[in-house]
Amino acid sequence: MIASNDISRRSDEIQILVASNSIPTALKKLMDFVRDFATEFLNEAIVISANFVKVEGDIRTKAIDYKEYTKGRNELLFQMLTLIDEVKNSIVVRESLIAIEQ
Amino acid sequence: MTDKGYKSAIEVREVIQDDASKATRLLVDFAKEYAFDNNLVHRAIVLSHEYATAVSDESRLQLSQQMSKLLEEIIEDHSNNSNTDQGRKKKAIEKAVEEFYSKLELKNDVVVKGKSLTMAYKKGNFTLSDVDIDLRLGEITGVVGENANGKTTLFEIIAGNIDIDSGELSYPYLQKNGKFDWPSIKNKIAYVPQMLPRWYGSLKDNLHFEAATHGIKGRKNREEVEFIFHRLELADFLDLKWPQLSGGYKMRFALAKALVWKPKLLVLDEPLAHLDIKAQLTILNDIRDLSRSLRFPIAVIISSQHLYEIESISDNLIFLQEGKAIFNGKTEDLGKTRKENTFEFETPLSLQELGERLKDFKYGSLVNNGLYFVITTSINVSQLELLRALLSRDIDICYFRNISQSSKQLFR
Repeated sequence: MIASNDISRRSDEIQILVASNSIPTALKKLMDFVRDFATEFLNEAIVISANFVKVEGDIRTKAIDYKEYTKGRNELLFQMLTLIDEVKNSIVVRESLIAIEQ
Repeated sequence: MTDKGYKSAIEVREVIQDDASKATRLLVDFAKEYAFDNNLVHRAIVLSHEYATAVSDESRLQLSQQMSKLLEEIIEDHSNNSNTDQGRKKKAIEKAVEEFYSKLELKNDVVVKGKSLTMAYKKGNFTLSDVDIDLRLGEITGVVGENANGKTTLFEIIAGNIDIDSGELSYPYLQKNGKFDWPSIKNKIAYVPQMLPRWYGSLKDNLHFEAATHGIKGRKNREEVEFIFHRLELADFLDLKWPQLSGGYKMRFALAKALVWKPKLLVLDEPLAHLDIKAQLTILNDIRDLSRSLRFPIAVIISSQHLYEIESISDNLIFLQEGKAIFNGKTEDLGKTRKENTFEFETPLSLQELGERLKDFKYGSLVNNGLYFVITTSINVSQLELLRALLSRDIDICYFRNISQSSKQLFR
Protein backbone atom coordinates (compact mmCIF):
# COMPACT_ATOMS: atom_id res chain seq x y z
CA MET A 1 0.00 0.00 0.00
CA ILE A 2 1.43 3.38 -1.03
CA ALA A 3 1.52 5.92 1.81
CA SER A 4 -0.68 8.92 1.06
CA ASN A 5 2.23 11.35 1.61
CA ASP A 6 4.47 9.54 -0.90
CA ILE A 7 4.06 12.00 -3.78
CA SER A 8 6.63 10.23 -5.93
CA ARG A 9 5.14 6.73 -5.76
CA ARG A 10 1.62 8.08 -6.13
CA SER A 11 2.52 9.92 -9.33
CA ASP A 12 4.40 6.83 -10.59
CA GLU A 13 1.31 4.73 -9.92
CA ILE A 14 -0.87 7.00 -12.08
CA GLN A 15 1.70 6.97 -14.89
CA ILE A 16 1.83 3.17 -14.81
CA LEU A 17 -1.98 2.99 -14.91
CA VAL A 18 -1.98 5.28 -17.96
CA ALA A 19 0.73 3.23 -19.67
CA SER A 20 -1.15 -0.01 -19.06
CA ASN A 21 -4.48 1.34 -20.34
CA SER A 22 -6.26 1.47 -16.96
CA ILE A 23 -7.67 4.92 -17.59
CA PRO A 24 -10.74 4.96 -15.29
CA THR A 25 -8.57 3.99 -12.29
CA ALA A 26 -5.84 6.42 -13.39
CA LEU A 27 -8.38 9.24 -13.51
CA LYS A 28 -9.64 8.47 -10.01
CA LYS A 29 -6.11 8.34 -8.64
CA LEU A 30 -5.30 11.59 -10.46
CA MET A 31 -8.26 13.34 -8.83
CA ASP A 32 -7.21 12.07 -5.40
CA PHE A 33 -3.60 13.10 -6.08
CA VAL A 34 -4.57 16.63 -7.10
CA ARG A 35 -7.00 16.99 -4.18
CA ASP A 36 -4.24 16.00 -1.76
CA PHE A 37 -1.31 17.97 -3.13
CA ALA A 38 -2.65 20.98 -5.05
CA THR A 39 -6.41 21.51 -4.80
CA GLU A 40 -6.19 24.56 -7.05
CA PHE A 41 -5.82 22.17 -10.00
CA LEU A 42 -8.84 20.04 -9.09
CA ASN A 43 -11.08 21.62 -11.72
CA GLU A 44 -8.51 20.72 -14.39
CA ALA A 45 -8.58 17.10 -13.27
CA ILE A 46 -12.38 17.12 -13.34
CA VAL A 47 -12.44 18.63 -16.85
CA ILE A 48 -10.04 15.94 -18.11
CA SER A 49 -12.25 13.27 -16.53
CA ALA A 50 -15.37 14.81 -18.13
CA ASN A 51 -13.67 14.94 -21.53
CA PHE A 52 -12.69 11.28 -21.25
CA VAL A 53 -16.33 10.38 -20.55
CA LYS A 54 -17.29 12.41 -23.64
CA VAL A 55 -14.67 10.83 -25.94
CA GLU A 56 -15.60 7.32 -24.78
CA GLY A 57 -19.28 8.14 -25.32
CA ASP A 58 -18.57 9.55 -28.79
CA ILE A 59 -16.76 6.42 -29.97
CA ARG A 60 -19.48 4.20 -28.48
CA THR A 61 -22.20 6.07 -30.36
CA LYS A 62 -19.96 6.29 -33.47
CA ALA A 63 -20.13 10.10 -33.40
CA ILE A 64 -16.37 10.03 -34.10
CA ASP A 65 -14.20 7.50 -35.95
CA TYR A 66 -11.32 5.54 -34.40
CA LYS A 67 -8.68 7.96 -35.70
CA GLU A 68 -10.41 10.95 -34.10
CA TYR A 69 -10.92 8.94 -30.93
CA THR A 70 -7.22 8.02 -30.70
CA LYS A 71 -6.21 11.63 -31.28
CA GLY A 72 -8.63 12.94 -28.65
CA ARG A 73 -7.70 10.25 -26.15
CA ASN A 74 -3.95 10.83 -26.56
CA GLU A 75 -4.41 14.58 -26.06
CA LEU A 76 -6.18 13.83 -22.78
CA LEU A 77 -3.44 11.40 -21.73
CA PHE A 78 -0.82 14.12 -22.28
CA GLN A 79 -2.99 16.53 -20.26
CA MET A 80 -3.14 14.03 -17.39
CA LEU A 81 0.64 13.58 -17.38
CA THR A 82 1.27 17.32 -17.62
CA LEU A 83 -1.12 17.92 -14.73
CA ILE A 84 0.87 15.53 -12.54
CA ASP A 85 4.01 17.56 -13.27
CA GLU A 86 2.17 20.81 -12.60
CA VAL A 87 1.01 19.53 -9.22
CA LYS A 88 4.54 18.50 -8.31
CA ASN A 89 5.80 21.92 -9.33
CA SER A 90 2.88 23.86 -7.93
CA ILE A 91 3.15 27.03 -5.93
CA VAL A 92 2.23 25.14 -2.76
CA VAL A 93 5.10 22.76 -3.26
CA ARG A 94 7.50 25.57 -4.12
CA GLU A 95 6.44 27.48 -1.02
CA SER A 96 7.09 24.38 1.00
CA LEU A 97 10.55 24.21 -0.51
CA ILE A 98 11.23 27.82 0.36
CA ALA A 99 10.13 27.04 3.91
CA ILE A 100 12.58 24.16 4.02
CA GLU A 101 15.42 26.33 2.75
CA GLN A 102 14.68 28.94 5.41
CA MET B 1 25.71 8.73 -19.58
CA THR B 2 27.10 6.26 -17.07
CA ASP B 3 28.02 2.68 -17.92
CA LYS B 4 24.83 1.57 -16.19
CA GLY B 5 22.85 3.98 -18.38
CA TYR B 6 24.47 2.70 -21.58
CA LYS B 7 23.80 -0.90 -20.56
CA SER B 8 20.15 -0.06 -19.88
CA ALA B 9 19.86 1.71 -23.25
CA ILE B 10 21.32 -1.32 -25.05
CA GLU B 11 18.91 -3.63 -23.21
CA VAL B 12 15.88 -1.47 -24.09
CA ARG B 13 17.01 -1.25 -27.73
CA GLU B 14 17.35 -5.04 -27.98
CA VAL B 15 14.00 -5.73 -26.31
CA ILE B 16 12.22 -3.26 -28.65
CA GLN B 17 13.62 -5.20 -31.61
CA ASP B 18 12.85 -8.65 -30.13
CA ASP B 19 9.45 -8.08 -28.56
CA ALA B 20 8.16 -4.51 -28.30
CA SER B 21 5.30 -5.55 -26.01
CA LYS B 22 7.89 -6.31 -23.31
CA ALA B 23 9.80 -3.09 -24.02
CA THR B 24 7.02 -0.62 -23.22
CA ARG B 25 7.54 -0.72 -19.46
CA LEU B 26 11.34 -0.75 -19.86
CA LEU B 27 11.18 2.34 -22.05
CA VAL B 28 8.99 4.17 -19.53
CA ASP B 29 11.39 3.27 -16.71
CA PHE B 30 14.37 4.31 -18.81
CA ALA B 31 12.75 7.66 -19.66
CA LYS B 32 11.94 8.34 -16.01
CA GLU B 33 15.48 7.54 -14.97
CA TYR B 34 17.41 9.39 -17.68
CA ALA B 35 15.20 12.00 -19.43
CA PHE B 36 15.46 15.59 -18.26
CA ASP B 37 12.67 16.75 -20.54
CA ASN B 38 9.41 15.52 -18.99
CA ASN B 39 7.74 15.55 -22.39
CA LEU B 40 9.93 12.58 -23.35
CA VAL B 41 8.63 10.68 -20.30
CA HIS B 42 5.07 11.55 -21.28
CA ARG B 43 5.67 10.32 -24.83
CA ALA B 44 7.05 7.02 -23.51
CA ILE B 45 3.96 6.54 -21.34
CA VAL B 46 1.51 7.40 -24.12
CA LEU B 47 3.39 5.14 -26.57
CA SER B 48 3.10 2.34 -24.04
CA HIS B 49 -0.63 3.03 -23.77
CA GLU B 50 -1.00 3.08 -27.56
CA TYR B 51 0.84 -0.24 -27.82
CA ALA B 52 -1.46 -1.78 -25.21
CA THR B 53 -4.52 -0.68 -27.21
CA ALA B 54 -3.17 -1.25 -30.75
CA VAL B 55 -5.50 -3.34 -32.88
CA SER B 56 -3.27 -4.44 -35.78
CA ASP B 57 0.24 -5.79 -36.38
CA GLU B 58 0.88 -2.88 -38.71
CA SER B 59 0.17 -0.28 -36.02
CA ARG B 60 2.25 -2.26 -33.49
CA LEU B 61 5.18 -2.22 -35.95
CA GLN B 62 4.83 1.53 -36.39
CA LEU B 63 4.73 2.00 -32.63
CA SER B 64 7.87 -0.10 -32.08
CA GLN B 65 9.66 2.13 -34.62
CA GLN B 66 8.50 5.20 -32.69
CA MET B 67 9.77 3.58 -29.49
CA SER B 68 13.26 3.11 -31.02
CA LYS B 69 13.28 6.76 -32.15
CA LEU B 70 12.17 7.96 -28.72
CA LEU B 71 14.90 5.92 -27.03
CA GLU B 72 17.56 7.74 -29.09
CA GLU B 73 15.98 11.10 -28.21
CA ILE B 74 16.12 10.26 -24.50
CA ILE B 75 19.80 9.30 -24.76
CA GLU B 76 20.53 12.56 -26.56
CA ASP B 77 18.53 14.61 -24.01
CA HIS B 78 20.45 12.99 -21.17
CA SER B 79 23.82 13.63 -22.80
CA ASN B 80 22.92 17.29 -23.40
CA ASN B 81 21.62 18.00 -19.90
CA SER B 82 23.28 15.71 -17.36
CA ASN B 83 26.13 18.11 -16.71
CA THR B 84 24.18 21.37 -16.87
CA ASP B 85 22.99 23.43 -13.91
CA GLN B 86 19.40 23.17 -15.13
CA GLY B 87 19.55 19.39 -15.20
CA ARG B 88 21.03 19.17 -11.73
CA LYS B 89 18.49 21.70 -10.38
CA LYS B 90 15.57 19.73 -11.78
CA LYS B 91 16.70 16.53 -10.09
CA ALA B 92 17.38 18.40 -6.82
CA ILE B 93 13.87 19.90 -6.81
CA GLU B 94 12.27 16.51 -7.42
CA LYS B 95 14.23 15.04 -4.52
CA ALA B 96 13.35 17.95 -2.21
CA VAL B 97 9.63 17.65 -2.98
CA GLU B 98 9.70 13.93 -2.16
CA GLU B 99 11.57 14.54 1.07
CA PHE B 100 9.21 17.34 2.11
CA TYR B 101 6.11 15.18 1.76
CA SER B 102 7.70 12.07 3.24
CA LYS B 103 8.24 14.06 6.43
CA LEU B 104 4.58 15.11 6.61
CA GLU B 105 2.85 13.21 9.37
CA LEU B 106 -0.34 11.46 8.35
CA LYS B 107 -3.41 12.40 10.37
CA ASN B 108 -4.28 9.47 12.60
CA ASP B 109 -6.48 11.09 15.28
CA VAL B 110 -8.99 9.00 17.19
CA VAL B 111 -12.45 9.86 15.87
CA VAL B 112 -14.47 7.40 17.99
CA LYS B 113 -13.45 5.70 21.19
CA GLY B 114 -15.73 3.15 22.80
CA LYS B 115 -15.06 1.12 25.92
CA SER B 116 -17.19 -1.82 27.05
CA LEU B 117 -20.14 -0.72 24.94
CA THR B 118 -23.19 -2.61 26.13
CA MET B 119 -26.78 -2.37 24.99
CA ALA B 120 -29.72 -4.73 25.53
CA TYR B 121 -32.95 -4.58 23.56
CA LYS B 122 -36.03 -4.42 25.77
CA LYS B 123 -37.95 -6.64 23.37
CA GLY B 124 -36.17 -9.91 22.57
CA ASN B 125 -33.11 -11.17 24.36
CA PHE B 126 -30.24 -9.80 22.28
CA THR B 127 -27.46 -7.93 24.07
CA LEU B 128 -24.38 -6.26 22.64
CA SER B 129 -21.79 -6.76 25.38
CA ASP B 130 -18.49 -5.17 26.26
CA VAL B 131 -17.39 -4.10 22.78
CA ASP B 132 -14.37 -1.80 22.53
CA ILE B 133 -13.79 0.35 19.46
CA ASP B 134 -11.06 2.72 18.38
CA LEU B 135 -11.73 4.35 15.01
CA ARG B 136 -9.00 6.57 13.61
CA LEU B 137 -8.71 8.94 10.66
CA GLY B 138 -7.35 7.18 7.58
CA GLU B 139 -8.12 3.71 8.93
CA ILE B 140 -10.78 1.20 7.93
CA THR B 141 -12.33 -1.09 10.53
CA GLY B 142 -14.21 -4.10 9.20
CA VAL B 143 -16.98 -5.68 11.25
CA VAL B 144 -17.86 -9.27 10.41
CA GLY B 145 -20.01 -11.98 11.93
CA GLU B 146 -23.16 -13.95 11.21
CA ASN B 147 -26.48 -12.19 10.78
CA ALA B 148 -28.21 -10.91 13.94
CA ASN B 149 -24.99 -10.87 15.98
CA GLY B 150 -24.86 -7.14 16.68
CA LYS B 151 -23.23 -5.46 13.68
CA THR B 152 -26.10 -3.09 12.90
CA THR B 153 -26.67 -2.42 16.61
CA LEU B 154 -23.02 -1.40 16.98
CA PHE B 155 -23.31 0.87 13.92
CA GLU B 156 -26.50 2.48 15.19
CA ILE B 157 -24.73 3.21 18.49
CA ILE B 158 -21.71 4.75 16.76
CA ALA B 159 -23.95 6.83 14.49
CA GLY B 160 -25.81 8.09 17.56
CA ASN B 161 -29.15 6.55 16.64
CA ILE B 162 -29.46 4.37 19.75
CA ASP B 163 -28.08 4.83 23.23
CA ILE B 164 -25.85 2.48 25.22
CA ASP B 165 -26.88 1.01 28.57
CA SER B 166 -23.35 1.04 29.92
CA GLY B 167 -19.78 1.69 28.81
CA GLU B 168 -18.06 4.82 27.57
CA LEU B 169 -18.44 6.39 24.15
CA SER B 170 -16.62 9.51 23.02
CA TYR B 171 -15.70 11.24 19.76
CA PRO B 172 -12.34 12.89 20.58
CA TYR B 173 -11.67 14.35 17.12
CA LEU B 174 -15.24 15.58 16.67
CA GLN B 175 -15.73 17.17 20.10
CA LYS B 176 -14.81 20.85 20.01
CA ASN B 177 -12.88 21.74 23.18
CA GLY B 178 -13.77 18.32 24.56
CA LYS B 179 -17.50 19.21 24.78
CA PHE B 180 -19.98 16.47 23.89
CA ASP B 181 -22.37 18.26 21.56
CA TRP B 182 -24.46 15.68 19.68
CA PRO B 183 -25.78 17.90 16.84
CA SER B 184 -22.25 19.07 16.05
CA ILE B 185 -20.80 15.53 16.25
CA LYS B 186 -23.58 13.98 14.16
CA ASN B 187 -23.03 16.62 11.52
CA LYS B 188 -19.63 15.03 10.83
CA ILE B 189 -20.84 11.42 10.71
CA ALA B 190 -22.11 9.90 7.47
CA TYR B 191 -24.21 6.76 7.95
CA VAL B 192 -25.14 4.60 4.98
CA PRO B 193 -27.64 1.98 6.21
CA GLN B 194 -28.12 -1.44 4.70
CA MET B 195 -31.59 -0.58 3.40
CA LEU B 196 -31.13 2.59 1.39
CA PRO B 197 -33.97 5.05 1.75
CA ARG B 198 -35.59 6.03 -1.55
CA TRP B 199 -34.92 9.53 -2.80
CA TYR B 200 -36.86 11.76 -5.15
CA GLY B 201 -35.59 13.98 -7.94
CA SER B 202 -32.36 13.63 -9.95
CA LEU B 203 -29.06 12.43 -8.54
CA LYS B 204 -27.47 15.79 -9.23
CA ASP B 205 -30.11 17.77 -7.35
CA ASN B 206 -29.83 15.39 -4.41
CA LEU B 207 -26.06 15.84 -4.25
CA HIS B 208 -26.34 19.64 -4.33
CA PHE B 209 -28.98 19.47 -1.61
CA GLU B 210 -26.92 17.13 0.58
CA ALA B 211 -23.87 19.39 0.35
CA ALA B 212 -26.00 22.48 1.09
CA THR B 213 -27.49 20.90 4.21
CA HIS B 214 -23.93 20.58 5.51
CA GLY B 215 -23.18 24.24 4.92
CA ILE B 216 -21.47 23.91 1.53
CA LYS B 217 -22.97 26.61 -0.66
CA GLY B 218 -22.44 28.58 -3.87
CA ARG B 219 -19.39 27.85 -6.00
CA LYS B 220 -17.94 25.44 -3.43
CA ASN B 221 -21.14 23.42 -3.59
CA ARG B 222 -20.83 23.08 -7.37
CA GLU B 223 -17.15 22.11 -7.11
CA GLU B 224 -17.70 19.44 -4.45
CA VAL B 225 -20.61 17.90 -6.36
CA GLU B 226 -18.60 17.91 -9.61
CA PHE B 227 -15.67 16.26 -7.86
CA ILE B 228 -17.66 13.50 -6.21
CA PHE B 229 -19.72 12.49 -9.23
CA HIS B 230 -16.65 12.31 -11.44
CA ARG B 231 -14.64 10.57 -8.71
CA LEU B 232 -17.31 7.88 -8.28
CA GLU B 233 -17.98 7.59 -12.04
CA LEU B 234 -21.55 8.83 -11.81
CA ALA B 235 -21.33 11.41 -14.59
CA ASP B 236 -23.53 9.42 -16.97
CA PHE B 237 -26.27 8.98 -14.37
CA LEU B 238 -26.81 12.46 -13.02
CA ASP B 239 -30.22 13.04 -14.51
CA LEU B 240 -31.54 9.62 -13.56
CA LYS B 241 -34.01 8.96 -10.80
CA TRP B 242 -34.28 6.19 -8.19
CA PRO B 243 -36.26 3.57 -10.21
CA GLN B 244 -33.86 3.92 -13.15
CA LEU B 245 -30.75 2.83 -11.20
CA SER B 246 -29.34 -0.66 -10.56
CA GLY B 247 -28.48 -1.76 -7.00
CA GLY B 248 -24.79 -1.06 -7.60
CA TYR B 249 -25.39 2.50 -8.74
CA LYS B 250 -27.84 3.16 -5.92
CA MET B 251 -25.06 2.23 -3.48
CA ARG B 252 -22.50 4.35 -5.35
CA PHE B 253 -24.89 7.25 -5.27
CA ALA B 254 -25.51 6.73 -1.51
CA LEU B 255 -21.74 6.83 -1.09
CA ALA B 256 -21.55 10.03 -3.13
CA LYS B 257 -24.24 11.60 -0.94
CA ALA B 258 -22.28 10.58 2.15
CA LEU B 259 -18.91 11.80 0.86
CA VAL B 260 -19.87 15.04 -0.87
CA TRP B 261 -19.69 17.02 2.39
CA LYS B 262 -16.39 15.44 3.54
CA PRO B 263 -17.44 13.61 6.72
CA LYS B 264 -14.85 12.62 9.31
CA LEU B 265 -16.54 9.32 10.09
CA LEU B 266 -18.17 7.02 7.53
CA VAL B 267 -20.39 4.19 8.80
CA LEU B 268 -21.25 1.66 6.09
CA ASP B 269 -23.63 -1.17 6.96
CA GLU B 270 -23.38 -4.04 4.44
CA PRO B 271 -22.64 -1.88 1.38
CA LEU B 272 -21.67 -4.93 -0.70
CA ALA B 273 -24.96 -6.79 -0.34
CA HIS B 274 -26.64 -7.34 -3.72
CA LEU B 275 -23.63 -6.02 -5.70
CA ASP B 276 -21.87 -7.96 -8.43
CA ILE B 277 -18.14 -8.65 -8.08
CA LYS B 278 -17.07 -5.72 -10.27
CA ALA B 279 -19.27 -3.26 -8.36
CA GLN B 280 -17.96 -4.64 -5.05
CA LEU B 281 -14.34 -4.09 -6.08
CA THR B 282 -15.08 -0.60 -7.38
CA ILE B 283 -16.78 0.45 -4.15
CA LEU B 284 -14.12 -1.09 -1.90
CA ASN B 285 -11.26 0.52 -3.84
CA ASP B 286 -13.01 3.89 -3.73
CA ILE B 287 -13.62 3.62 0.01
CA ARG B 288 -10.01 2.61 0.64
CA ASP B 289 -8.49 5.38 -1.49
CA LEU B 290 -10.80 8.16 -0.26
CA SER B 291 -10.43 7.23 3.41
CA ARG B 292 -6.64 7.44 3.15
CA SER B 293 -6.61 10.90 1.65
CA LEU B 294 -3.70 13.02 2.84
CA ARG B 295 -5.81 16.16 3.10
CA PHE B 296 -9.26 14.80 3.95
CA PRO B 297 -8.80 11.45 5.71
CA ILE B 298 -11.88 9.63 6.98
CA ALA B 299 -12.36 7.00 9.70
CA VAL B 300 -14.41 4.20 8.16
CA ILE B 301 -16.31 1.36 9.82
CA ILE B 302 -17.81 -1.16 7.42
CA SER B 303 -19.67 -4.43 7.83
CA SER B 304 -20.05 -7.20 5.30
CA GLN B 305 -20.46 -10.93 4.80
CA HIS B 306 -17.77 -10.78 2.09
CA LEU B 307 -14.94 -11.69 4.43
CA TYR B 308 -11.94 -11.79 2.11
CA GLU B 309 -12.88 -8.54 0.43
CA ILE B 310 -13.38 -6.76 3.75
CA GLU B 311 -10.17 -8.20 5.19
CA SER B 312 -8.25 -7.00 2.14
CA ILE B 313 -9.08 -3.33 2.79
CA SER B 314 -9.42 -3.26 6.59
CA ASP B 315 -6.67 -2.14 8.95
CA ASN B 316 -8.63 -3.47 11.92
CA LEU B 317 -11.21 -6.19 12.27
CA ILE B 318 -13.98 -6.91 14.76
CA PHE B 319 -15.65 -10.32 14.73
CA LEU B 320 -18.97 -10.30 16.53
CA GLN B 321 -20.62 -13.44 17.84
CA GLU B 322 -23.79 -13.29 19.89
CA GLY B 323 -23.11 -9.66 20.67
CA LYS B 324 -19.53 -10.18 21.87
CA ALA B 325 -16.29 -9.31 20.09
CA ILE B 326 -14.54 -12.66 19.61
CA PHE B 327 -11.71 -10.91 17.77
CA ASN B 328 -10.92 -7.21 17.95
CA GLY B 329 -7.57 -6.02 16.66
CA LYS B 330 -5.29 -5.46 13.70
CA THR B 331 -6.31 -7.52 10.66
CA GLU B 332 -2.71 -8.68 10.26
CA ASP B 333 -2.87 -10.16 13.79
CA LEU B 334 -5.70 -12.55 12.91
CA GLY B 335 -4.60 -16.10 13.57
CA LYS B 336 -1.20 -15.04 14.89
CA THR B 337 -1.55 -17.22 17.97
CA ARG B 338 -3.10 -20.17 16.13
CA LYS B 339 -1.99 -23.68 16.92
CA GLU B 340 -2.76 -25.17 13.50
CA ASN B 341 -3.12 -24.14 9.88
CA THR B 342 -6.48 -24.28 8.13
CA PHE B 343 -7.11 -24.52 4.40
CA GLU B 344 -10.25 -24.81 2.34
CA PHE B 345 -10.37 -26.37 -1.10
CA GLU B 346 -12.74 -27.78 -3.65
CA THR B 347 -12.43 -31.07 -5.53
CA PRO B 348 -14.89 -33.33 -7.35
CA LEU B 349 -13.91 -36.21 -5.01
CA SER B 350 -16.10 -37.36 -2.13
CA LEU B 351 -14.99 -37.05 1.48
CA GLN B 352 -14.38 -40.80 1.63
CA GLU B 353 -12.27 -40.83 -1.56
CA LEU B 354 -10.33 -37.85 -0.32
CA GLY B 355 -9.69 -39.51 3.05
CA GLU B 356 -8.35 -42.62 1.31
CA ARG B 357 -5.96 -40.66 -0.89
CA LEU B 358 -4.69 -38.69 2.08
CA LYS B 359 -4.29 -41.67 4.44
CA ASP B 360 -0.47 -41.38 4.41
CA PHE B 361 -0.57 -37.58 4.89
CA LYS B 362 -0.64 -36.27 8.44
CA TYR B 363 -3.45 -33.81 9.06
CA GLY B 364 -5.66 -32.79 11.98
CA SER B 365 -9.21 -32.85 10.62
CA LEU B 366 -10.92 -33.02 7.27
CA VAL B 367 -14.56 -31.96 6.90
CA ASN B 368 -16.92 -30.98 4.13
CA ASN B 369 -18.84 -27.84 5.02
CA GLY B 370 -21.26 -28.25 2.15
CA LEU B 371 -19.36 -26.04 -0.27
CA TYR B 372 -15.69 -26.81 0.38
CA PHE B 373 -13.45 -29.25 2.16
CA VAL B 374 -11.74 -27.77 5.20
CA ILE B 375 -8.51 -29.37 6.35
CA THR B 376 -6.38 -28.54 9.37
CA THR B 377 -2.69 -29.33 9.57
CA SER B 378 0.25 -28.73 11.84
CA ILE B 379 1.41 -25.11 11.82
CA ASN B 380 4.61 -26.28 10.10
CA VAL B 381 2.75 -27.34 6.96
CA SER B 382 2.81 -24.50 4.42
CA GLN B 383 0.20 -24.02 1.71
CA LEU B 384 2.77 -25.04 -0.89
CA GLU B 385 3.44 -28.32 0.91
CA LEU B 386 -0.25 -29.07 1.23
CA LEU B 387 -0.91 -28.24 -2.42
CA ARG B 388 1.96 -30.50 -3.45
CA ALA B 389 0.60 -33.28 -1.23
CA LEU B 390 -2.88 -32.94 -2.78
CA LEU B 391 -1.69 -32.77 -6.38
CA SER B 392 0.82 -35.62 -6.00
CA ARG B 393 -2.08 -37.84 -4.90
CA ASP B 394 -4.06 -37.08 -8.09
CA ILE B 395 -6.53 -34.86 -6.28
CA ASP B 396 -7.95 -32.33 -8.74
CA ILE B 397 -8.15 -28.91 -7.12
CA CYS B 398 -10.72 -26.42 -8.46
CA TYR B 399 -10.26 -23.95 -5.61
CA PHE B 400 -7.74 -23.56 -2.79
CA ARG B 401 -7.30 -20.94 -0.06
CA ASN B 402 -5.25 -20.65 3.08
CA ILE B 403 -7.68 -19.38 5.73
CA SER B 404 -5.30 -19.73 8.69
CA GLN B 405 -5.23 -15.95 9.07
CA SER B 406 -8.76 -15.16 7.98
CA SER B 407 -11.80 -14.41 10.11
CA LYS B 408 -13.54 -17.18 8.17
CA GLN B 409 -12.02 -19.61 10.67
CA LEU B 410 -13.96 -17.96 13.45
CA PHE B 411 -17.25 -18.94 11.81
CA ARG B 412 -16.66 -22.62 12.49
